[in-house]
Amino acid sequence: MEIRQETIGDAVVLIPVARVDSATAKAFEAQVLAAVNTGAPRIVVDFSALDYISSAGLRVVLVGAKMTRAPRRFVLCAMKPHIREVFDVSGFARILTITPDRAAALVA
Amino acid sequence: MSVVDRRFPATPARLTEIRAAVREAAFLLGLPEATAGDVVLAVDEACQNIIRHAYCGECGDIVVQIGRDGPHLVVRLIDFAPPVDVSRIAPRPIEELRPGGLGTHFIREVMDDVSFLTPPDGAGNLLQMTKRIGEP
Repeated sequence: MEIRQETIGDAVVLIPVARVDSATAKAFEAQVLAAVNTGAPRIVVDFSALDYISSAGLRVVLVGAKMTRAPRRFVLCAMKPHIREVFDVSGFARILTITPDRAAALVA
Repeated sequence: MSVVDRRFPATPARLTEIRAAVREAAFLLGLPEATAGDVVLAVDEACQNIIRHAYCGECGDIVVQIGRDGPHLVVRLIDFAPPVDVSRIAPRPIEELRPGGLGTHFIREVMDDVSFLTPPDGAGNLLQMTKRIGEP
C-alpha cells in the first residue's frame, strides 16, 4: 500500500492512502513503528487520503499510540466521516487524540 | 432471494473484491450510504475472522450471499473449514493489542443479529448476520 511520509518541524506525518485492511495492515504497521522509532516528539497520522479502515488498521493505530510514550504525542487527524465513525463505534475515539485537521494535530 | 451469491478464495488479498460485492448488493437493495458502509465493514471483519480463525491460513473459499427477507438485510457467509467452537468467539476489551476480538465487536455493533446456523451439506460453517433495513 502507499503510505506517504513528511516531516514538519519536530513531527513525522504519515499519510496512508486508499485503504488499511487485513491485507495491507502489515505494511502500515511497519511504517508506523518505524516512525515511532525515529524518536520524533510528535507522530501525526493524516487520514485525509484514506477511504477504508478495518479492525486490522485500528489495531495498528492503537499499537502506535501505546508505543509513543508521553511527553511524545501520537495524534490522528483529517478523518472522513465514515472513517471517524469506525473510530467512534470501536470506542477508540475516546482513548486517542483526534483532531479535525493537520494544523490542529501539529499543536494538539 | 439473494442479490449477491458469489464464491471467493479466502485470502486477505481478495477482501477488496468481497467488499465491492457487498457494495453492489447494498446498491441493488437501495441501502443508504451509511448503512452500506456499516455492512461492508461487518462482512469484511467476518471474512477476516473466517480466514484467520476458521481456515487458519489453509486454502479455502467463502460463499457470500446477500439478500432481503422482508424488512431485514440477510448476509450469509459459508465456509468449508472445520466447524468453529462458537463459545470461543467473543469481543475483547478494546485496549488489548492482539488481533481479533475487535472485529467481532464491530460486527455486533452494526448488525442486529449474528448467529451460526447449521451449514449446508459439505460446508463447515454458516454465519448469518441480519440488520433491519425497513420494508422494500
